[in-house]
Amino acid sequence: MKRTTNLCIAFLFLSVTTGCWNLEEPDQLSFVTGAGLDLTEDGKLEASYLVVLPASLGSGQISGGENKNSFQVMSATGKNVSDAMVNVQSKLSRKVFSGHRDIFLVGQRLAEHGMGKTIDPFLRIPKSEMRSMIYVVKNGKPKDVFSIVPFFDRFITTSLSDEQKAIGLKPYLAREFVVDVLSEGKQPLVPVVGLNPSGHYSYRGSGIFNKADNVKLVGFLNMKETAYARWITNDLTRVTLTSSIPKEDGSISLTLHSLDQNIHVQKIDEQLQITVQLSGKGTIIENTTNLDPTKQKDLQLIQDELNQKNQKLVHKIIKKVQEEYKMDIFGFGEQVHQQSPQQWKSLKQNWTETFSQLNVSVKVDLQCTNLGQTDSSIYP
Amino acid sequence: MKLSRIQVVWIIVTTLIIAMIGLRITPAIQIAKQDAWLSMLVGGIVSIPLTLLVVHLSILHPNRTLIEFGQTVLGKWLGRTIVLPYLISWYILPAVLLRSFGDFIHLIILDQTPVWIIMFLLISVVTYLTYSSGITGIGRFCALVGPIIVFTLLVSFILNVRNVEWHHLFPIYTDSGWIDILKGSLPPAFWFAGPFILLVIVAFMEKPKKAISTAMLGIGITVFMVSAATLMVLLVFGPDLAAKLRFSFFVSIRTIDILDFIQNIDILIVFIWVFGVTAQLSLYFFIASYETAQWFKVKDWRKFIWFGAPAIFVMAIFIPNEATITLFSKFWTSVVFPICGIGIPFLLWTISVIKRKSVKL
Amino acid sequence: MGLFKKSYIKNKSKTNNPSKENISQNIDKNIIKNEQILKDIFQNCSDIMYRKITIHGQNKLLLIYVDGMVDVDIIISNILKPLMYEGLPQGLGSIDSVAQMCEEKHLSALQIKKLSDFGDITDHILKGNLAILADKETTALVVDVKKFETRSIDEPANEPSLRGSRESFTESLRTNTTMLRRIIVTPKLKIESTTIGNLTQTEIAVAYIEGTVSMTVLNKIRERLDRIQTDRILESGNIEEFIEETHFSPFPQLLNSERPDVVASSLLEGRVAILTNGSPSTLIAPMTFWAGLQAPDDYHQRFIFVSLVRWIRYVFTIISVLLPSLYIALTNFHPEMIPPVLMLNIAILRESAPFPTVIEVLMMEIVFEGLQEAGIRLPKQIGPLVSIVGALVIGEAAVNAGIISAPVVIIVSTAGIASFIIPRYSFGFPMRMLRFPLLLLSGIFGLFGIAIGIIVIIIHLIHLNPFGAPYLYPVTPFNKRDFKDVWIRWPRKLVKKGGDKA
Repeated sequence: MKRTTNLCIAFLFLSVTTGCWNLEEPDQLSFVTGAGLDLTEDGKLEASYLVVLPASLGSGQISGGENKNSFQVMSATGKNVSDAMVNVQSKLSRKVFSGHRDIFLVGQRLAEHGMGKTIDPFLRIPKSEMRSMIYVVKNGKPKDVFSIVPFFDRFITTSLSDEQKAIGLKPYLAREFVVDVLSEGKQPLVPVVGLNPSGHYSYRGSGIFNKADNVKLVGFLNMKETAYARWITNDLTRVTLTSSIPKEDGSISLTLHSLDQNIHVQKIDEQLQITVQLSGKGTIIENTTNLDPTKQKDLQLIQDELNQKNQKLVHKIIKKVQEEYKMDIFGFGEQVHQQSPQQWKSLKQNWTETFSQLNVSVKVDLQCTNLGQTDSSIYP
Repeated sequence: MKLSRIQVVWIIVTTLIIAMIGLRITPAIQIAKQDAWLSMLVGGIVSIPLTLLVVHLSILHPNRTLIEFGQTVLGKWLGRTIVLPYLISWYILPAVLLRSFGDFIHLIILDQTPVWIIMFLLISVVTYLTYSSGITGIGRFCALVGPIIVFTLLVSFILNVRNVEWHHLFPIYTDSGWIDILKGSLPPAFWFAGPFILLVIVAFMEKPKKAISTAMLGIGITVFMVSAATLMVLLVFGPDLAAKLRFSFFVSIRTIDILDFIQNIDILIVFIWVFGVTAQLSLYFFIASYETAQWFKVKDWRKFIWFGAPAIFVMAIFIPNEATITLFSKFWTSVVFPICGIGIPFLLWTISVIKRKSVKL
Repeated sequence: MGLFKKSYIKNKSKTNNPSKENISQNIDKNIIKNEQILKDIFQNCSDIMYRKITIHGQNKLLLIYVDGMVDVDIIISNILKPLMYEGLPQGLGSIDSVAQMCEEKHLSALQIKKLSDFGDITDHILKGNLAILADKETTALVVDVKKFETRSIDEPANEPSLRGSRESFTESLRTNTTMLRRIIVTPKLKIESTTIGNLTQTEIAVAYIEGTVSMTVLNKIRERLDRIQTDRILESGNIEEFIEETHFSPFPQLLNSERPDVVASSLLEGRVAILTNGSPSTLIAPMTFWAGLQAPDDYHQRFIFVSLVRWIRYVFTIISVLLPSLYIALTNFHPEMIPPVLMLNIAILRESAPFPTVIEVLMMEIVFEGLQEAGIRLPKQIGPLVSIVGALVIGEAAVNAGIISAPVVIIVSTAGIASFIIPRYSFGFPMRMLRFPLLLLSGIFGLFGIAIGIIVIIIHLIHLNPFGAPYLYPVTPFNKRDFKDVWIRWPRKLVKKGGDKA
């Protein structure tokens, strides 16, 4: 027994002296808060990183506010994702550490070329961050977005990760992107940011991908369309709708808080019939009409008007997606799969075609539960 | 060297739950898709008769382990030969387990540390536990660590509720059908029944008569936890992504993000993994040493520790790669378990029952 | 065990007080000869007093005592006066000897013994008895007139509590047993006493309550106490070392307390107390891990609060052991587990730190332990100074000078303070010690190393079985009723019979 204890102690000393294999001090790591992928003009993959510079961050704190150099954007090209990453590493004296990566950006060029081949490292590398959010950069490169000096935060990545929540969307994570790509009945719908001429970014809606064809970007939805599409997939938490009411020569804005959705699959004469029901309750935040929502009749009028307007709008968006892109971003296929699984087995091969000819009816049911602090418009 | 009921329950839970959750979830999802959790439940039900057989066999021979009663049932030489496969698997199984866990740690957290050092640390701890207090110590260790493991898993489920997407589960049954569900349930069923450890452990129980209810309770808890974990993985990732993740439960923990503060707690799960694997290895290791001593009719089983520990360690080092482990796992479910888990116990049981009846007559 | 046996044999070979062997002879009839023998024994002992008197004109008596250990007033009023001024006793029939006469009539003292062996007599004299030798008689009278300066009963200095008795044990064994008797008024409270130590002749009392005590524990203690062969027992710690299960454990296997109420409550729970003359700290066996984390007034305060405090204690115990190593593991191995903003702040502070984190933490831990030790040994007036200097030099200057990074100071001092939360001071030692191996392990293997370290500690605790009682009882092996008491101090009324804690 004693001999074994001695052996163990000897072993411990041995391991201490031979080195601490995995030990990496924080000052031996370069923290990456955002990573981006894009394609260069000559068809090479370009990886870019937003690397934090702790040293200048520290001094910035003391001297007050001046944090221009608190980060550095590094990028390099390579044959595949890892190769590009290795090439970035060769420019950095500290080991790249992606454990705190918040944001993953995809350049438009890569997205249009197709990102099927770039998803693998997402899953394979154990330290990869599955909680980071994914964005497509419209008309630009990830590294341009990373170079933006943000207003509020130290890094643009923090702003980007708060962006979706501020708009009222459920954050779309890289993990969900992978799930969508692997699923049978849904196409990915990825948020899009674009660079403004002023040098800042803005949220620009979302991009539609075709996972059957190398996960290619096939088109964009603007902000409004995205909100409705996300509503249908139950990923919307808050939205403000404005409808003009021609009869009254004004408009009414409604902020919806509790949003709900229901997709019903029916089979009428061997034909699939999909009913999308959207409902929501909200507060009136602006009223430029003469209608007085405290009166039951006027309230009914407002609600009916809003319902009808939005019904049409949603229907139009669905039609547009069906005809223009033919991509089932609403997850109707998934609904069919769940509600009539036997049929799905025969439908899933040609779902893309079936989707574009689907019969979709929309019902919108909005309720103004909170009327705000006044009744009719203050200045009639 | 006596075990209380609670200790036996926790021994069963602790030694099974980690390996099941760590290694069995993804294969089941690959076969049964979103119905994998049903597979786990069915597997639990299938394992009940298997466990009953083994436990009842042990109860017929109270306070005697497999090697002892094997010889009384079949005679000295036949009895000794027929238990050889058990002895061999009790040595190989910990080696495989040690290696796969070493590889896992190496992959997940210590990628620059040599695997053999990780395995050396583990085997030293296991040897310490087994040598210092034998089965009593293992029982106490499991009774302490088991509740911690179950509690941690439950907490992890709760923390992950935010990421749950119910639609991943639907449609139930139609996609896979009962054939796939059953197919997915067979490997877990064999593992739920345990690698024949009950053939030895029941002999150490204070009240062997309560062995059946004890074993059922232990397996019940395990089945529940494993099904819940499978359910959680499915709810978070959906069947398509989960089928692609080798350590799916582990990755599902990584998705937890509470207030931007509790995140990446997968490494804490590694923590309880180490606990569970230590318990599991120690149990197999103890059984191996104890039964070898019985086989050679040596009184002091601790002597065999000094043979067993290096043997397991060296075996673990010489396993060439991951593929071998997968092969072994297949070999286990298709050959070893049907023979050692069903065939031989059934043979022994029939003979014991017939002998008993003839004595009574 | 092996080591224990060896020392046991070695001790035995050189045992037995040489003086005792030489003088084990009986009293002679001649008082002058006796006096000479005693004077030989007590050669160069200036504190031994001899007083010769003659009573009734014929009987010569010799009184021997140690100056300062006897009550002079009592000797004069109760012994000398009756002997010298009162005549022969009347009504007692014939008197055979002076001894009998004194015992029955003259001496109004409670404890009187008749002895004839010089060894015994010497022992008694040294313990503060008065020996009376009479001419032409072979028995000596030994009268208990002990009185020496002792410390009065103080407040317990090392175990303060908010509520409950303010008494603390003193150095005198008798006073201590009295205090126990006063609390537990039952004949079932047994106090067995023995003497250990050839030179110190230390009196030891083993107290227990018949019926509640576990006989296996009691027998083990008796057996181990019997086996002790040593020249000196100066403190209960010496006994602890002799009777503990294994020496190679950082964990104390006997509890010690200087509070009579704590000892009494342990006795009522079925434990055994070992009181040592000359030391206020009393040993309590068997000890469990959880007992080390219970404060004396846990059972006096309101139960909800106490239960909460208990949990805080558990949490802080874990913090005190694990925090420094967790810090290393998280910052150096798994930075992704620390929230990004916090990690960045740590990274900023690390940027200018000259030492590796492991070395930093190790250095600070050593300094902290040093400060703690310095604080204990220094005179009371200087003690606070050390902490001020320590806080200023280590806390402020070192960080400002950029020698140590600030988080390390926070971590080390938090862990240090956490170890002070442990109510039994001696139980804090293992926590403080175990930090260092865990630090090394986490420095090499990160969280995996900590897990291995924790497992080794758990295995060790499982293996510990002091006096046949498992150290981790009632958690493992599990006992439902007692387990409740570990995590919630349940109101006494609601605890079913038998679970009554004092």
